[in-house]
Amino acid sequence: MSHGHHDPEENLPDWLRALRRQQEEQAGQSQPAAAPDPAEEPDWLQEIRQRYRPGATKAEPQEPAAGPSEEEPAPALQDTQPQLPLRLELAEEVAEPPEPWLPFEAEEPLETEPVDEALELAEPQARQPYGDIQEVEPAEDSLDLPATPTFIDESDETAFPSTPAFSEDPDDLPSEPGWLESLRPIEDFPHEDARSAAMLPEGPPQEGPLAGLSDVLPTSHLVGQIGKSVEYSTRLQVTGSQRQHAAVLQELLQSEEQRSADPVERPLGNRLLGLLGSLLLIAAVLVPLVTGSQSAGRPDSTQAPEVRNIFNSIDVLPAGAPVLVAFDLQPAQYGEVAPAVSAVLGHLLDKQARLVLLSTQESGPALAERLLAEHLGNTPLVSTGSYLNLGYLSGGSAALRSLTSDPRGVVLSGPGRSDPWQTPALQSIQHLRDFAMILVIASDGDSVRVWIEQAGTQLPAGLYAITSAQAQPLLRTYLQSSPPSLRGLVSGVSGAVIYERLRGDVGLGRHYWDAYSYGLGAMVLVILFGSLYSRLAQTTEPKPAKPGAPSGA
Amino acid sequence: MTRRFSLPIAAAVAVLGGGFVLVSLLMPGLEEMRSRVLNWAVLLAALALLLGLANLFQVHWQKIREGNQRLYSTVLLIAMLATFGITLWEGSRAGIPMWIFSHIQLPIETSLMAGLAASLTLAAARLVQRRNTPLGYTFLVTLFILLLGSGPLFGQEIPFLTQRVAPIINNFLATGAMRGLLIGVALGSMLTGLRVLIGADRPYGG
Repeated sequence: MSHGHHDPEENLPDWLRALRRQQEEQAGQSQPAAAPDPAEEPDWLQEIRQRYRPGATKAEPQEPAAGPSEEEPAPALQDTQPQLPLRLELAEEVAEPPEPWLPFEAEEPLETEPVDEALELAEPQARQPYGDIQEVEPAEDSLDLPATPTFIDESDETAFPSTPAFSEDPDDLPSEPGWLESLRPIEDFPHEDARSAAMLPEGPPQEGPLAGLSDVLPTSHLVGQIGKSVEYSTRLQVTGSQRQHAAVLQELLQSEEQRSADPVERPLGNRLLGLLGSLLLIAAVLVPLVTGSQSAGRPDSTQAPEVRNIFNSIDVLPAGAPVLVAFDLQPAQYGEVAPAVSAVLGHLLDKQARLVLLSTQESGPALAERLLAEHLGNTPLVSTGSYLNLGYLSGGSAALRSLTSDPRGVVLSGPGRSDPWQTPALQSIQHLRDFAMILVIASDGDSVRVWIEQAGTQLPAGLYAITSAQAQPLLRTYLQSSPPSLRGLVSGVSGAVIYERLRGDVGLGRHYWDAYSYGLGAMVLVILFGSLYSRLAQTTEPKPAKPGAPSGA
Repeated sequence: MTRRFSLPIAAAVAVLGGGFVLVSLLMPGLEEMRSRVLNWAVLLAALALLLGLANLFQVHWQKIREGNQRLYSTVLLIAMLATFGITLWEGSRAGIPMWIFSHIQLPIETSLMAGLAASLTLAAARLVQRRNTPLGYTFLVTLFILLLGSGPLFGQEIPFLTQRVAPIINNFLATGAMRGLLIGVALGSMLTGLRVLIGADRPYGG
């Protein structure tokens, strides 16, 4: 499918063709526009011109023009001319409707010379970068502009002065009416250029996307600030009163440091009190341990139902029941907790429970090994190594949560390369609730609290704990809750003694009980007599004289 | 520049991780993924122990180079490196590591606890001299009652204190105070968790 050449005039409507014919007739009456010299035109352009000449047939488009044609080029040939500036074409479109009063032809360009002159006066450097555009403008000059309309020629030059659009010379300004002159605050305006320094022409930028273009806003400093957040001052906004308070606080701290740095002159009575108190405490604890005294009466189990609960729960365990023992114990509390642990674990071993040891403290596995070897080494399950120490579980409460939800997926340090879950003690364990009992051995109440919070809700059998005596007030709240979050508790030496009494055994707790009793009495005596002495010394101590008070009668 | 970029990433990781674990506790079907994320935390906590060991070594090595308490730092570094090396070589349950634990670490920590008990006793004896206020006397009276009710004194039990007064203090006063304390701890934990989840608190260094 080929597209043949066709005359653009064919598709024009009749009214437009009549209008064009009328324009041609009017153009013929005026001075014809200066056509370009055909001798200077290239061959290809001449061919196009011949092809669209009126009267030329399509059969002879190849004939070149013999000489300069006197006929006007067809309007369609204007697309072969160099492009006029955009404002002139727009002016053609605006002027194209044949208004009868228009004094000039529609194809004639508007008179733009005064505007260009004003632009050149105002911005002499503005046209320099656009030299290539200025080279096109001679085509505009080549067109013969029509004579100035009559009404413009006859107009008064003083009534319509040709004023440039912008002039820095105040003398060039036309005269203004008096009322406008009185309103103009001429004296208030600075005569220098009010543009900011960033807007003043400084020559073309040397870098960036606008390199080489003049009279553009400099963007280098703007580009450098992109992405830079506003930085606020972090200095404290301190008022005067706050500054005074800070000075007072600083003086107090300095006085405290100075007091601690100075050698303390303790009174002789205080030194004797400290010495005698320490000797009394040491003697009260050591003498019963050395003599092996068992004179102090053991407390009744009715005073501690939580101890009886844990005893009853262990007592009904079947043989071979898996019991998880969390050994979250610190070495500092080992001596206090060891009697209770040995008593409870001894009961478990007597019931032939399969012990699985675990610790969330770094020293827990070592303490567990030491306790089993030291106090329960004679039991068959310990001597034969029929227990499993899973080792240390790092991660705190997060690790406990992971252990609760997926015991087989946790990372443990104890068993080494072998899989502990393939041992007989753990083969039946899929969840934490599969253990027959979970026993937490802890130094403080917080460790047990974490176990209760992370695992207590998913354990139908509940939790049991062996702790230091200092954890009892905190854990008592969980013992008294309904349903109880903590089923049983053995705390301190007294709990160990009660448990041993329930078992009908004499163990480490009983051995420590007299030392505990005598040490408790010694503490009460030291505090009682120490407080009396302190009160007496305070009343007999001379009071320092108040500054400004009269020195005597 | 690195810090400016790393802070939003650390905060995003913390918020997303905490939010996911929280959502997984409420929505079924995410248990396996939650367990995996929690295991990552377990491994990171174990790695933090090694980082703490390295930091301790660096601090005391710097003290030795600066001549600041050189003897203590030297002893600490030798003991630390020896224990770490032997435990790494033999395992934590071998003879020498267990001997070090049983004969050095355990007695030292137990002795410190015993010394703390004696110090607290003497401090209580001097309490009146230091703080002669109604609250000071209240503390002393409560302490006397609890000590007398904790067990027999010199082998002799005072039933009125051990079976009447002490249980009242333990079961009502102490337990009530502890319940209030636990409620406060729970509310504080929730608030802290929410602040971390929304990025208001950045305990990871942000």
